[in-house]
Amino acid sequence: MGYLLTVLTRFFWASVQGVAGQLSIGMAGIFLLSLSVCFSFSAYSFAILSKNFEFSFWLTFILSLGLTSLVGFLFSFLYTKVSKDSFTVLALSSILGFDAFVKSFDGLTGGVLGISGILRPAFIGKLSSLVIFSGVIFGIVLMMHYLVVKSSLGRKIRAFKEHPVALESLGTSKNSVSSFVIIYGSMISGIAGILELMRLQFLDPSFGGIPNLILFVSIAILSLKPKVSSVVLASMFVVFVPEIISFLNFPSQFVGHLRTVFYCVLLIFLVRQVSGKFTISKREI
Amino acid sequence: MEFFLQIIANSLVLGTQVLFLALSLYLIKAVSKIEHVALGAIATACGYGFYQGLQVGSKFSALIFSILVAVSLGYISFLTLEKFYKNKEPLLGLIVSLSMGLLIEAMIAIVFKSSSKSLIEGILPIVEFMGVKFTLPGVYTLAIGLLLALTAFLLVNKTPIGRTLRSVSENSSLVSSLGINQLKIRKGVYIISSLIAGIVGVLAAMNTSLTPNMGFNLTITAFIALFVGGSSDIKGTIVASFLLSLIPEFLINYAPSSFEFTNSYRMFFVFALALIILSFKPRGIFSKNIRQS
Repeated sequence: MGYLLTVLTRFFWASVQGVAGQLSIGMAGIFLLSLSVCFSFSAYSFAILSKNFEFSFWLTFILSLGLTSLVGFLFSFLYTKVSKDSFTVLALSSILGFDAFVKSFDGLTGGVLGISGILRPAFIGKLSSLVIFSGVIFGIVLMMHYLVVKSSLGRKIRAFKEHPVALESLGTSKNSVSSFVIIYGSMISGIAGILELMRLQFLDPSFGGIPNLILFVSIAILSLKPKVSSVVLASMFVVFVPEIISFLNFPSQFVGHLRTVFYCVLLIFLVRQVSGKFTISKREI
Repeated sequence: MEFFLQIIANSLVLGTQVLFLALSLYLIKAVSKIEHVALGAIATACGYGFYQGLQVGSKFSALIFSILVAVSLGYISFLTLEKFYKNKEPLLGLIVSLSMGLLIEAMIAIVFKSSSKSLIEGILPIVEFMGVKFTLPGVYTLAIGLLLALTAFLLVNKTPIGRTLRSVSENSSLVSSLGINQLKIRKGVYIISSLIAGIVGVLAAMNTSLTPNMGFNLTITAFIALFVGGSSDIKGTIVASFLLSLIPEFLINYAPSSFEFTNSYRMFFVFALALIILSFKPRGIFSKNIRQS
C-alpha cells in the first residue's frame, strides 16, 4: 500500500511539473531546461527557511515560491537577451551550476550530505494525507492551467510559438509573453519540488538534476497538444510504465539506471516522431 | 611565482581539454546547426573503449578499440540527428543529443559499473619544466591541443576544405547546386568530431580517472566557451576555452581565505561568468557584425 501511495505522489508532482513543461516547451516553444533547477531551488529554499527560521508551512511555501519566481525572472531576462540556442545551453548548464552551488555552499545547503529531518506539518503527517494534499494541489494547478489554455493568454502563448511577428503586430509584447511563461513555469516547477520534498523529507544534491530534466521533457514532448488531459495522460505513461517495467527480472546492474534508460529511449523515439510537426506555423498570414 | 605558473599550467591542460570538445562542437554546429551535447558521453565511451582494449591486449588494441567506438558513435549520431537538420529543428536535435548522451552514460554504468577506473596504474609520471610540474598525459594534451588548434584554424580559414565547410554552414542549398555532396561532409564531420572527442576522453582519463559521467561537465564548459567566444568565430572559441579554465582557477586559488573557495566551485564560476558575459555581449565576446539583407 505504501508503495502505491508513493507512486501516486510521484504521479502528482510529475504532472504538476509536466504542466510547466507543456506550457514552456509545448505551447510557447521555449526550451526552458532550467525548470529542473527551479524544482530543486524551491525545495532547498523551503528546507532552509523551515529549518532556520521556523516559519509556518504556508508562509514557507509562499516565500520559497516567491524566491523561485525570482530565479524565473533571471531566466526570463536572459531569454530576452541571448539567442534561443545560447539560452537553451545556458539553461542546461544552470543545472550543473546549481549542483556546484549546492555542493560548495555547504554551510547553507548541507553540501553533499544534504539537509535531513525536514518535518511535514501535522495535517500531512501520514503518507495517505500527503497523497490527498498532493492531489488537491495537482487539481488546483490543473484548473489554473485549464484557465490559461482556454483564455486569450493561452492563445497569445501559442501565437508566440507560431508567429511572434504577428503577435507583436497585434499589440502584444513578445517579451511579456515569454516572461510570463518562464516565471509562471518556474513557480509551478517550484510547487512540484516542494511536493516531492514533503514526501522525501530529505534533500541532497541528487534531488532534481538531470533525471528530473528528462522526466519533465518526456512529459512535455508527449503532451505537445495544448490540452490539460494530454498532460495527465503523458504523466501517467511516464510515471507508471517504468514502475511496471521494474517488476520484470532485469540483471542487478540495471538497478538505478533502468528509469534513465527508459526515459532516454522514449525521448529519442518521441522527438524523432514529432520532428517536422513541431515548428510548423499553423496560422499563416 | 612558481605557484602562479603552476596555476597557469593546470589551467592550460584543462583549457586544452575544453578546447578539444569546443572544436568538435564548433564543427558539428557549423555544418548541421545542432548542439551535439552527447559528445561528452562519446568522449567517455572512447575512454572506456581504451580501458577495455588495455584489459584484453596491448596499447595498440586499446587505440583500435577507442577509434572503433568513436567512429561508430559518430556515425550513429549522424543517423540520429540528421533528421533535425533537415527539418530545421536544432533545439529538438539538442534534446535528442542530450538523451543519447545520458543513454550512453547509463549503458557505460551498467556495463562497467559506476566506480572509477584508472588507465595508468600507480603514480602518474611527472615532467618538470622551469619549476612547473606537468603530468605526462598533461604534456600530451598540450602538445596535441596546440597541433589541433593550429590545424583546425588553418583548415577552416585557409583551405578549400574549410571554405566548403563554411559554405555548407552558410548556404547549404547553394552548395548542393554546385555539386558538392553535403551529406557526405556532414557525415565526415560527425565522425571526425567524435574522434577528437575520443582523444579528450582518453587523455582526460589518463590524467585523472574514468567515471561514466566525466564527460558531461567538460561538454557543458565547452558549450559555454563556444557561446561566450562567439559561435561564428573559431578564434573566439579558442580564447574562451582557456579563459573559462583560467578565471575559475584564479578565483579558487587567489580569493581571500575567508571565502574558502574549493574545486567544487569551478562549475558555479563557469556558469556565473557565462551569465555575466552573455548578459552584456549576447552574441559572444568575439562575435562579428553580420550584414543582413
